[in-house]
Amino acid sequence: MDVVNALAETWPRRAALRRPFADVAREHLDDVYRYLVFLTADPVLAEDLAGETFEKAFRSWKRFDPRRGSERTWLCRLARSKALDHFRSEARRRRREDRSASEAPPVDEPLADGLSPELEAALRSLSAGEREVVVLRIVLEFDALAAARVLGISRTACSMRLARALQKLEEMLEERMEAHVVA
Amino acid sequence: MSSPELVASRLEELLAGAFPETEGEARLQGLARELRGASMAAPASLRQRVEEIKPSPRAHTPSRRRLVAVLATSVLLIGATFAARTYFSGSDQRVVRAQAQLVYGSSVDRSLAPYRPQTQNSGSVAGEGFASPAPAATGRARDIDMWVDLRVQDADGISAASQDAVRITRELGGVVTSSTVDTQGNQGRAQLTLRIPVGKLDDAVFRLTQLGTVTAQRTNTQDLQGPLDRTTDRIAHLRSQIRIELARLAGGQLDAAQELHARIHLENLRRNLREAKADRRALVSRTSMADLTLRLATPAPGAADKSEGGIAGAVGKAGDFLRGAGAVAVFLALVLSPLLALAAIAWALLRVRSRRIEARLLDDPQPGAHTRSS
Repeated sequence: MDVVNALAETWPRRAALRRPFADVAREHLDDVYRYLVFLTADPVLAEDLAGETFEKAFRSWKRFDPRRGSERTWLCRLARSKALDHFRSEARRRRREDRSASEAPPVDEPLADGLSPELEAALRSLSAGEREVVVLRIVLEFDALAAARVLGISRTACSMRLARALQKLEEMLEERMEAHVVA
Repeated sequence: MSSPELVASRLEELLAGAFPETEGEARLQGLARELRGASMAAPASLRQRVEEIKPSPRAHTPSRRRLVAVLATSVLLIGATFAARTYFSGSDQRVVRAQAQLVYGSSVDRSLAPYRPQTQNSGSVAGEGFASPAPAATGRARDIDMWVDLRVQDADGISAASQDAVRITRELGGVVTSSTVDTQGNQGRAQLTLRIPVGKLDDAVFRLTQLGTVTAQRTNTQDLQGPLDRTTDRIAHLRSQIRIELARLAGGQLDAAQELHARIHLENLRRNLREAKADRRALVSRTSMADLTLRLATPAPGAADKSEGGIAGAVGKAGDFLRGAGAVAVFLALVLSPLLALAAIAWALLRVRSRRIEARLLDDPQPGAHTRSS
């Protein structure tokens, strides 16, 4: 990684403002991984995508402008782009093989340690779009503007989307709680 | 629970740490704490993978896509510049030719019989001894005078262009009424006065302007249809009067004095008829042939010296270059702007489509859970 730092520093433009890539990668690795886990609801896939994200980030590091946003926001945008590319290719593959989404095998690995089974199940029931706004605003504590930048939507739309996602999450939790009590 | 719109505004406050006021808000904050408290550290394998990132051997070479884009843009710009220069460099000849067409109205090549001159726009007009048909409904008889100034590189060019001009004129059935050529060293001037059949004027202008660079041109037209019609009417009237007088003389009803008077009147009528015919011949001659004055000149000696060196020359060259560049830029902007507008519309539509596909993908709870990369 020291070689990486040395190579990154060879770009004179904005080098004074840009931190070494290795430091940035170490600092934000967990956040990017968490974001992808929530987005994909698949920790193994999230690990693959996170690795690809940082590889792409290293190649694009000289184009990053610290004056236009934080490193974490930039990395999450790259991660989102990688994930969407994967989803698109997966959808094309499914169309070619004529498989429906309902035939997808369930993912057994837990999303995270420390989540109650009800919350984990409720999270998995949300759509990927709802989960990603929850992870950005709640788990990673992005402010509304930064989260909107990652999602490519307006700040107001981001807040609305979060409110709906949390409302849906809460309703699912209540249903599961009631079902558990009845059982 | 309240509507999402109300919750959104209150949610921002709760996430910022505001004290919950309802049980629902307290549950929300509890949910947020549970989510934040969950451990989701990156696995060791991922850490190692990121630590091992190193540049690929081809990291410092430009991508193929970028090279193709740069090459395509360069070819497009060079082609557009060349087309603009070709168009603008030929514009002078086109202006002269267009004016010539405007003046006499048609570029149809009409061959003319040498002794039966025709006017371009008024149809054929017979010479002496033939009945005069009515002029054509379209067009009018006009006297056309053109002056064209050409710049030629050097004295040899003056001589060659003069000879070519004479040759072209004769090939087109015209005549050279005067020719003056004056050369001294590398400088020279020439003036040729040409009479070109009106039907061949377009070709003459086109071919003559190829002999040099057009620096000035002027066209003067005079409508002669009115005078021609009046002359024709006068001839017809005189002929009618002559027939009347001849009939009176042949009738034998006149006494000696009346017969003498009639013969004198007849002689006057015939004289007037001859004059009228001569007038009409002159008018027809003017309208059947156009007068073209061709002036050839080499560049002024001072201008050549100035343009070769010195600050003034450099400034002049820079000004010429900027003017040319500005003209090319305007040309490119006008030509490319519709294409750019179409490209912008296409890009916007593709973006909208991409957003819809993205939204559809993210509606799936597990959009990417079906394959794992190795």
